[in-house]
Amino acid sequence: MELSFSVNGRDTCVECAPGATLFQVLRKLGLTSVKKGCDDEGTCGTCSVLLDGELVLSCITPAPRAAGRAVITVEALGDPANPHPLQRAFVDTGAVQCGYCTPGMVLAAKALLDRKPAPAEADIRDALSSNLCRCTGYVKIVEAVSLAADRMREGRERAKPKGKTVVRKVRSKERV
Amino acid sequence: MIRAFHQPTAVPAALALVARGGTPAAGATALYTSKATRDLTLVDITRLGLGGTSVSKSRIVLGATVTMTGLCDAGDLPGMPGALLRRAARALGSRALRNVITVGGNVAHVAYWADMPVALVALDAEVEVRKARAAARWLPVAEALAARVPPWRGGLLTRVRVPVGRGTYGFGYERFARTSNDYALATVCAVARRDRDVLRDVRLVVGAISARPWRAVAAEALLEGFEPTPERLAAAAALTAEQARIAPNFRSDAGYRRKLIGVLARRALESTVTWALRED
Repeated sequence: MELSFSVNGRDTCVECAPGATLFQVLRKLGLTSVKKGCDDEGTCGTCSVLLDGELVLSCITPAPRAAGRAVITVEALGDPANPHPLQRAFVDTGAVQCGYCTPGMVLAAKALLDRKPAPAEADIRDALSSNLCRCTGYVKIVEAVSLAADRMREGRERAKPKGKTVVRKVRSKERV
Repeated sequence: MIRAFHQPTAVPAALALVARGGTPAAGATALYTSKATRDLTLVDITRLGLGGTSVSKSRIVLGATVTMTGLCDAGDLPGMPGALLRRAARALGSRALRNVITVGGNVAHVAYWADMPVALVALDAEVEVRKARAAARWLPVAEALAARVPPWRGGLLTRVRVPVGRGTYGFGYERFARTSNDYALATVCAVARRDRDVLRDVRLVVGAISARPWRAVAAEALLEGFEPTPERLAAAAALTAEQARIAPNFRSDAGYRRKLIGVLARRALESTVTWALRED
């Protein structure tokens, strides 16, 4: 069957078997950040991707279910020259060791920060609950997500226009 | 082996496909992790418009494809039932699994480890079953789960409704698993209504120990109409552990799980009483 969907912002059309998983299709497209760790058990999180912004385990997601929807893998987040704040924070805190779990971790963290820009530690741990890491012990990964959240909030603060316009916007929101 | 994948957008079309032998799938987690080898025609039911919730004075109605994350985020579900449903949904699996596991699938799959049926039996919930060329019917979830052949076989479980009682209710929900991703070793849910100084409408349900959720009826009777003293709660919890019929499980032996049930039942009952006796 034919599967049309958006992958990392690009409209994509591929031929896939009715029983194919999203993982199989993404790997066929050359997206090697999407990894297999648990033999399609849905327990390790290395195959995590965002489907319409929600974290899913691509190894147990039917590929045809992605039809007409948007998939994001870690390839879309940044590159070595311009890493995403989450990727930079993972490096800065030493949250990357063997690196196998890192793409899934970063996407799980992105899904969290997109819906909750100022998460508590419990929120971070819950958001990462689908993702296993056998190297780090998780402490540095949790620190990385917290650091990225702080930096992204600061970045947004700095990006806000200064002066009267901001004050007016805030007042208008408060009235609503 | 999945031979065909259908994505109907209306319930009658899905019912027709299922009547012709199609296998309904919502989150599809159980189906894909089971690595089924027989030939299957999958009927994806996530585009049927069954993903919403509605609330009236007397009940909460959940579409079958409401996800656990959807339930966690459903802040408008009222009263004790709403709080218990959110608690049970949040306790189930990891974030990525909660994003796809559905209320209906967790019931219809009839797995011993399923968590949502434990809460739904304690809440006296009912399920709506629809089949092609037949009128929709509502059944108590406990009765539906007890049937030798699930009543939704050959059709669909389309909605779940939960009564919202008047009065002061309390609940306790205790799930114990080795990791957030793992199946529960035992789950205990308690519900009760306060009537002056005594408890009424007591429900004490244990899950993940046998094929279906088990109501600890004798322990419920020990509490029904009595003041919930610490001694009585402890006795009810001990009776629950004593009478539980525990199926063999490679994760842990029956002796360990029996002790676990006693601890979880005591905690669930204490939480229920704390809630039920709170100041209005």
